[in-house]
Amino acid sequence: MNTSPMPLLEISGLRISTRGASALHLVEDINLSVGRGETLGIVGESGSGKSISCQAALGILPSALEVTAGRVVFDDTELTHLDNRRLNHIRGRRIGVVFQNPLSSLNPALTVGHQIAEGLRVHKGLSRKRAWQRAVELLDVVRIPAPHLRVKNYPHEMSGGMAQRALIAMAIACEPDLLVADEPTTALDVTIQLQILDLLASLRDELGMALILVSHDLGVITRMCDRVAVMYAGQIVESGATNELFAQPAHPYTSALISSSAVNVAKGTSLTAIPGQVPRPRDFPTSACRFANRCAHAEPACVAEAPAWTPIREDRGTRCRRVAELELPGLREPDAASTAEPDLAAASSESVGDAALDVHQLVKHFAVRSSRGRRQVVHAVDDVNLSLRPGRILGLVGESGSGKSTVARLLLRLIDPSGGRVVVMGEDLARLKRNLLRKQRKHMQMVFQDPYGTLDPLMNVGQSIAEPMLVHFSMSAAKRRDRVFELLDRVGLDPSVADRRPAALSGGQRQRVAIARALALNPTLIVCDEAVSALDVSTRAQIINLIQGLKEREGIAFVFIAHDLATVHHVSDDIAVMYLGRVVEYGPADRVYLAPAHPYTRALLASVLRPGEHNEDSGHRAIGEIPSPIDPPSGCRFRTRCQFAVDICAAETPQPMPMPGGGWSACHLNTPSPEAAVILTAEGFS
Amino acid sequence: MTAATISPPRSPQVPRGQTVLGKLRRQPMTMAAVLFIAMLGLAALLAPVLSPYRPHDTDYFAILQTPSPAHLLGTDDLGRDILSRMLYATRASLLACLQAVGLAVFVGVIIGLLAGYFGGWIDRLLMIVIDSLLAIPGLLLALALVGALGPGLVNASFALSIIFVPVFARITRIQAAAVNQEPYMEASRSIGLTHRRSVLRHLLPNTAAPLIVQIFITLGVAIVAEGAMSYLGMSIQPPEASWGNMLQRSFSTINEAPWLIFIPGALMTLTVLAFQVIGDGLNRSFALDTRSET
Repeated sequence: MNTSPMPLLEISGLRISTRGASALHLVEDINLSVGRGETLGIVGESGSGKSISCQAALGILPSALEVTAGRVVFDDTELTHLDNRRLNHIRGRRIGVVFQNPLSSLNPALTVGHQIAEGLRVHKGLSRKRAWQRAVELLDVVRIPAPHLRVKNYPHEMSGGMAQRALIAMAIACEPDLLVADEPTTALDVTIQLQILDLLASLRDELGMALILVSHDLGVITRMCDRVAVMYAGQIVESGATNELFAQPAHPYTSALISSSAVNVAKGTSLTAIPGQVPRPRDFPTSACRFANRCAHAEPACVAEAPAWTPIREDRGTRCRRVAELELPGLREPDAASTAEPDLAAASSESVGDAALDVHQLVKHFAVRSSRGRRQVVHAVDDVNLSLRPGRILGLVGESGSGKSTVARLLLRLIDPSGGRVVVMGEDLARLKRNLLRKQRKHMQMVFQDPYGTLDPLMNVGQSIAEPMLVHFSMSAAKRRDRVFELLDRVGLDPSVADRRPAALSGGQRQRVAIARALALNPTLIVCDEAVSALDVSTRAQIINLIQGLKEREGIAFVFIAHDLATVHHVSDDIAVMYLGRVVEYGPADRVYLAPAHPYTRALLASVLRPGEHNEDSGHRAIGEIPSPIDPPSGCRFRTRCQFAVDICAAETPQPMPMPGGGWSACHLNTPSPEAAVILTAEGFS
Repeated sequence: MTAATISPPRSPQVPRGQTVLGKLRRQPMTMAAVLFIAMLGLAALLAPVLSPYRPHDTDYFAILQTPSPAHLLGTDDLGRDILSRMLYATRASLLACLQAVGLAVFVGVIIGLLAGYFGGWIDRLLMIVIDSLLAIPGLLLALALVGALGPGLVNASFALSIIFVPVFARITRIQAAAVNQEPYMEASRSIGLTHRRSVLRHLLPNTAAPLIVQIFITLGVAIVAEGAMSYLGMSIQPPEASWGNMLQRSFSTINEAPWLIFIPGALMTLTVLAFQVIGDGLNRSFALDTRSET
């Protein structure tokens, strides 16, 4: 199934099981190969077995797991039974690895230079001095500015993007033949993600490496990979050339993954969610198709026997027995989502009414001390104005460090603002006394990012949902119990869930529980702080549909915070784009998404990787990384990363400028003056 | 066959042997220690029933006797039955330790929770107090306190509890401060819980694991400390028996009856060991417990 005659790495019939008497097979029958200069993508949700398949190929499986069948052949060497010493030899020199979380993959006690040089001295026998020089060169290769200074940094002195670059430098230090990147950009911001992916692609081409890229993000896979293998519940369910596979998926799971992605669906329609969730290894069906219970096309024969791998062509195959008869939807035509011109006039209609939320000149400054004990001020939020009517969703986007989460906490007064007003239901929260604030809390609720952390692990789900009612309402235990069941039903969970501990639930289920708890008090406003970011693609769609349904049926106002512009656009009625503590652009969702005015919004938009599209460079890029909110740039805060920045940007803070189609943008170049308009369009954005 | 039969919903019950107690049950050493402490406790409770003689009854015709059917553990220099005295001594010593550790846990946990939950100046103030307590050598402080308050079981327990407070305050504080960062603590604020409810319902239960371990380890320390104090005559006063003062008394007759010193000595050693083993076992079970959940 590969094009080059002699694959560099070939995995055949791989099976990985837990050690011990009742062995569970976590992955089975994995066949993969990758040749030099080629990129293989492995895509799947968490729990599909994509990471451990790579770990097995590298011989770094956790000690509780072992390879029980199959072979991993790397350049004529069988790796599965190799002893550790020889494996180490191959791993360091010929195979490099990049992991998901760069900061925890580096040793915090050693400088970055030391860690890069260490590998060079062991594997290449370089002298201490020579290895150090090489480390500096490598940091330059991965485009870290001022490498001779950075080489002396400890990991905590670097940002996530910088640390990931350093990790890549370490992985390519010995010029490996194969680079395995396991979710290399998942922990990073979209603008940084794009930079890192570009770096990986150019390194692959320069060094002629084979690249295995593991990701759950179809957009990332499309941009990078020649061929893809789609994994589900420990099996490869489909593989083939990227374009073909996305255009004409041959397995219902692939098709469903594509249509549950927000970038691929027209706004206002609900996302195609895959019902249920990925089974856990002990629930893998042995004599049925593993996807059958979530599949829209399943028929009785699908659960009668496990489907065999069906090759379609030499390079393409699927694990669906109905492949011949099914006509599965793939990607829609590339611009279908945006062909409909935004109805700008309609979108901008602002009806008057009581606002559910009104934020006026909100400011939050934190006092911190520098390492030398100097007092410093973090300008986390500066002069933010927002308003939201009942039954609408306001999307708040920006990179990490832009102040989104601080705003979320200020909206509920989980932290005290340094200035400004937050008016919910006619009450200015900032002025409320503790007791009144506590009473006011029933009108406003929050759903947090981390579905694993927001529920007390020692309480069962029913207790967690009942708790707010216990505090705010006086009702009998029986009534409360009934209400818990009703709430569980409203978020699409079975009543039996009430007796379980959060640990027994999946991420999506926990997030539903968190929403049920937020609904318990009949709030008028719910703030969702990155509520879907930690979820898998298919469960994400379920939660988004749930939120939209609640908005439409019950008229609850939502503030939906996320870093993913495509998702925010899909969900929201209005969008506010934040950068370094300020809102830089605000307006109706379609206007902001389809006709962005601020260079930062454009850069964010250019970083959205759409599955199936080899996104052409629009020329809009954010340069470098977000600066520290301590001592932010003068004037326009985005100017240090803006490719259009001119003198006035440093001198004056740009004021909101009304935009055609509704909303406003705060950029000096958005003035109606003709030459400024020329600057923006000449660079290629249309 | 329907789709539902393919993957039946997982049973909500935690698999057998996965709970903390289940894991403890599979550690034979820990179970032996638990059994030992349970028997010791039972013996202390039933001392009046179990002892063949009254603990203060002297018999001048049976002085310093070796173990015999009449006196299973022999007699001391006043002809008192050692077994009976040991039973009462166990009662007194365990009670002193429980009092000392109980009070220390109560005060220490409150201080630790306040410091960890509120942070800021409350934290700094409380920790200054705790740190200055820690700066004074423990036993010296306890002896000085008893010196001021007068010897006796209650005063000795109180003095000991003072020196154990910092341990519990610090462990609770560090754990509470960590748990306080968990999203569910912020979530509990966002639904409008009172401080009281947040602390008692969410913070305390989630800080309990290391505390329980520390309680057992401190009980072991308390046995030794209480022994030392009553050896010095600062705690339980003769003729009431305690492990410490029986040890002290047997020293004066070490030439005539060397075995006497081993009886309270061995029991103290075993008790300390048992508490430590239980603490270790709990620690391991809690550690495994959290790992299996993530």
